[in-house]
Amino acid sequence: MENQDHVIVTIDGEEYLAAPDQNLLDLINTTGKFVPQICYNEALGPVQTCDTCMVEADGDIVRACGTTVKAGMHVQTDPVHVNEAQKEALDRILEKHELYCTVCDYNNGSCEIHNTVQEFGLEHQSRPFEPKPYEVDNSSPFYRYDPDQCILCGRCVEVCQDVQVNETLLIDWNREQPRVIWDNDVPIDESSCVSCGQCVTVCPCNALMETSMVGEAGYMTDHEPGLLRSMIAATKTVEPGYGPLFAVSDTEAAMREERIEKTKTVCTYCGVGCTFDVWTKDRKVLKVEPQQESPANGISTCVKGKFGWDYVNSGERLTKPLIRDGESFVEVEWDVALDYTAKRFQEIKEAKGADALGFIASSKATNEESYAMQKLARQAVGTNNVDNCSRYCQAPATKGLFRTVGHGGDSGSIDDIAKADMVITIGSNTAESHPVLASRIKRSQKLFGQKLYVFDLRKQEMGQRADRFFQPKSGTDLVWLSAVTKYIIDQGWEDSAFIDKWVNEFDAYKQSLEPFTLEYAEEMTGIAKEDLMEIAKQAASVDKLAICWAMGVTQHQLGSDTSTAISNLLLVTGNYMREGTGAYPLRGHNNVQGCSDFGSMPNFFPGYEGVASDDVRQRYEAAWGVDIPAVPGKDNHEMIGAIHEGDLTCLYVLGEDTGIVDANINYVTAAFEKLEFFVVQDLFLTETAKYADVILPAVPSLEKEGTFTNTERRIQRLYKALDPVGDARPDWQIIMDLAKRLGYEWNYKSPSDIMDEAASLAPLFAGVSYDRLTGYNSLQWPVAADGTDTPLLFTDGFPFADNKARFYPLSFELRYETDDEYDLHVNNGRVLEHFHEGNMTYKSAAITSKMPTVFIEISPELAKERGIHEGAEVKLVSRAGEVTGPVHVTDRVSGNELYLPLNDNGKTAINYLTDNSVDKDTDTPAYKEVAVKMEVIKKKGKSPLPPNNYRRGNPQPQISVRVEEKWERDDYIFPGSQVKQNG
Amino acid sequence: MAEKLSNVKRMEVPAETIRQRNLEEVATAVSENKEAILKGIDLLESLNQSETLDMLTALVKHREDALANVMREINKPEYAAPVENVTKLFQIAGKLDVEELQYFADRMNYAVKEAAASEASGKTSYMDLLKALKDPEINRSITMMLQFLRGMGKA
Repeated sequence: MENQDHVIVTIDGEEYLAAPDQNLLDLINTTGKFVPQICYNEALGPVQTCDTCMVEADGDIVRACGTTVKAGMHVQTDPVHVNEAQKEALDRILEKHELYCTVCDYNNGSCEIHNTVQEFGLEHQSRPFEPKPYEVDNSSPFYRYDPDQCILCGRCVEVCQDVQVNETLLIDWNREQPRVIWDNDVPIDESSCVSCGQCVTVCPCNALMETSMVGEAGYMTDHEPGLLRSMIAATKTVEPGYGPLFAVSDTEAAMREERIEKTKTVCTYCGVGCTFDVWTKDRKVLKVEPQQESPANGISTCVKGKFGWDYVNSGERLTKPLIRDGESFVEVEWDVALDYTAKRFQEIKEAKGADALGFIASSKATNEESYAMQKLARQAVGTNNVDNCSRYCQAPATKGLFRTVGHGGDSGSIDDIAKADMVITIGSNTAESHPVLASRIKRSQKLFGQKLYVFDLRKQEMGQRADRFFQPKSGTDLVWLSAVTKYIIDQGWEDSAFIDKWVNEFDAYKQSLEPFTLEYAEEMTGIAKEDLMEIAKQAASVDKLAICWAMGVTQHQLGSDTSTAISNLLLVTGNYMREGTGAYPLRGHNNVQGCSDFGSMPNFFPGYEGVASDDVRQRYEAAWGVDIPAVPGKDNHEMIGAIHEGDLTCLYVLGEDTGIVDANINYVTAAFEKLEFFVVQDLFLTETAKYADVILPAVPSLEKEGTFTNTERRIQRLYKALDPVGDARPDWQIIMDLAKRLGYEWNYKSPSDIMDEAASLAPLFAGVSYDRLTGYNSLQWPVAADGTDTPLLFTDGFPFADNKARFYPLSFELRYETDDEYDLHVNNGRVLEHFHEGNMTYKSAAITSKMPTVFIEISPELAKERGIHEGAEVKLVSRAGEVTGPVHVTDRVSGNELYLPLNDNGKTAINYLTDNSVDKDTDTPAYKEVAVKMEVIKKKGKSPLPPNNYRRGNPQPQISVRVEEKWERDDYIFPGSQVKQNG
Repeated sequence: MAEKLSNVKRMEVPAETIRQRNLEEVATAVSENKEAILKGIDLLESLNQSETLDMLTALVKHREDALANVMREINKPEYAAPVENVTKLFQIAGKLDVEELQYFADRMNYAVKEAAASEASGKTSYMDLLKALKDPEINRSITMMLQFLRGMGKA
């Protein structure tokens, strides 16, 4: 009998319950029965290319993966003719793929051809392996393609077209010998490939392999090509049937476990929080392998996470503490450095008071290290002068959400963004800044009809893909957002049931919208009135709307207000509290969320509880046995100002190249020069460290334990994959050692103890513990004491006294414009290949070969007007400073709009141009408000963008691998039909 | 006033200190694994006595050459058959029903013993053969061989 939720399917005489429309192979895989399958992968869905999952369904032989269950379906997996069809399909695969497992670098227990043939029990192949007439493509520095080993399963194409949605790979089914091709059949290195590595991750065999694995993984694979070839031949002679071959190769695979470590870690390159296993052999990183169970990313990665780990083994790593001595830094032992630092802290505190010291934590370090840093400041020193680099990027988004909905984080998970009917992105170059998250949007838009509206100055990839793309004038997003919201209310399209039940202050807010007429918005933003009406109509009509935003919103003088306007719009349309809806400030660094969450903020203890609140403060005072000042401390920006004023004379900066990444760096570094005592803790001798009195060598994520919190508020553990280099130590240990010398014995045995203390004090993390975060397990805060976490916020209301959200009235005043003298606007931000000031990614020769330098993007019309060409050299002069750099002419920018990636720590560093203007509510520098004049130094030259950069490629969009073209070939016979013919 | 500096003076650790540290590390490892080390020394000594150690050292040092030579040989057509035979022999060995064979082998051994002990000489005529069939022991053997031949034909 059929009921509403399930249908009954009979498999090999036994009845099973299936979900309606369930994939048949998916169902069979839940029964424990074995049906061979090579191209099927849960993350990709049915690709239908390998033909091995033949079963009989209601009398016909079919591909199980291409069949949807029906009520009363009868399925047989094991009759002789079905087995023959399966064997025929496997034979065809082995004609294309040579099994020389023992000398194959992919023989690590996970080769799906090896495992399938073995489990099927195939002893001999009926037809010999046939080499194909193609060379191995070794052109990419990241991975290589061996057509001879490729079985044309098309997983790589599927993942490139429909998961990553970069649309580079396809199979040309029309050649005599089909193969995977890149773009219009060019070498990998010259294609539009962004080297995300996902094709390599999903390849079931050794056809696509990380270059770092080749000749490294096996005991017998590191030989000259000729010798390797003869070993392959010998392997096949010595191991004639598959049984012996597998016996030997399985043994060799087991032996590899002895020297290859696989350690779970969390990526450090953006706020998406990709997790994966990193494979290491001694200190060598062999590969990065994301897992199906990776909560934020599944099988996905980007080029930096998959291939950008060379910095860990860079010869430039600091290996000993350094102390300034005259004209140079001198290496010293830890005791010397720590004793000296503690002594100077004490002396300055005694002479000038605790508030003469400032502490800057790192959004790249762990939650536990953020907790330790603020505890050092508040307990061991006695000041609230502690902050972190979220001040440079995300504080305004947090502020906007606190004002309206009460939690400063993404409303839901990345899954919710993927589920939305409509996604709006504002000031976010998502495909380059949060590539894995962008892929989810790109996929939903390409395959599932999600509407994508992009608002950005620059027509970057998301803008090119968008259903509608708008270029509002810089800094005016608040205006169009408010105008659209007003129009929705004027038309009566607001969700009044939601507002009545869940939101306060509607009338006051409605009143405040009066000035935001469509005419005013058109004038201020440049977006036509009709477009604004269309945006409003679309936003009000969809059931589920999610808005993502980033630095293009926050790094303005009205960053907090604009973030608030986004939240107001979501409240008016009822887009909170449900799956697929909400506000998503896309966090930039791996732990920009967690660093603030765990208390490195001048006004908050961990969990965003105010230092000014007596109850909260007393809780910490009782736990730490000290008095803590009730007055909030100085933020980063105020600290730099206070140094110039002479009020702050000692600074301790952890994992932050402040002298490059803060705004107006001439002013910042001038402050460093005035410091009485300056401590920098980092991996490298950074530009900031060069001003320090003491430099303490820290370790990167792969050399320590801890947790990071991603943009989804998801807390994830990282495990230690490598031992520290030289005498370098994890940040938490260094901070603990300093606290001890200042008279406070913390006695943490591991970061787990720190997390336990934080969980016991901050209600937001009450149930967080390492036991609940083992392996790929994760928790999204708030976490109740019993361990219940919150993937979707606000399902029971908003965290205010009356459980209701609030509208927050806003006004607008244009605070920044170009003028006749400083006539060009410099937009700035990320590129896919590099991270932040480049201290990490430029250590990778492979990544650097793809993008060797930054450049200044100039529109074709401006280039023409100024008479300059690709490769020209220009000087940009702002009121704060100047930079020089090479020109890249591109229509991604238009008119008098320039773009300068932020990844340079030399003469092209953007922050020579930025000034001291800040968001009025959070002191976040208005990095995006830079007016310059341009001087031409050289009219043309060598393009700064090399010919092998993906931006020069020619993507070939299509849906899936187009297996129908394979089926239409004259030489293709369905294995099921062939068995019938033969029989 | 702190100026920007880029020079780093590396700490000169005296060679003797490094040597001392390494020695201490090794000494600790030796002390913790005393038994294994002593057995290892014994093994090395035996290898050395038999000159196997010299041979192994040479082989490891020239492993690429050695492997290339071996592979060249193995891949020669004339070796294909023997190499394959060796593996196949193993497979045959795996397929034989040893218990049944035991039965045959016992009888075979007994027969060999009898034959060796026999002093019979001269020729056997057809008539002698027919007569011999009446001997129950010979008849049992002949019947068994006929069954064997039938079985082989069926396989």
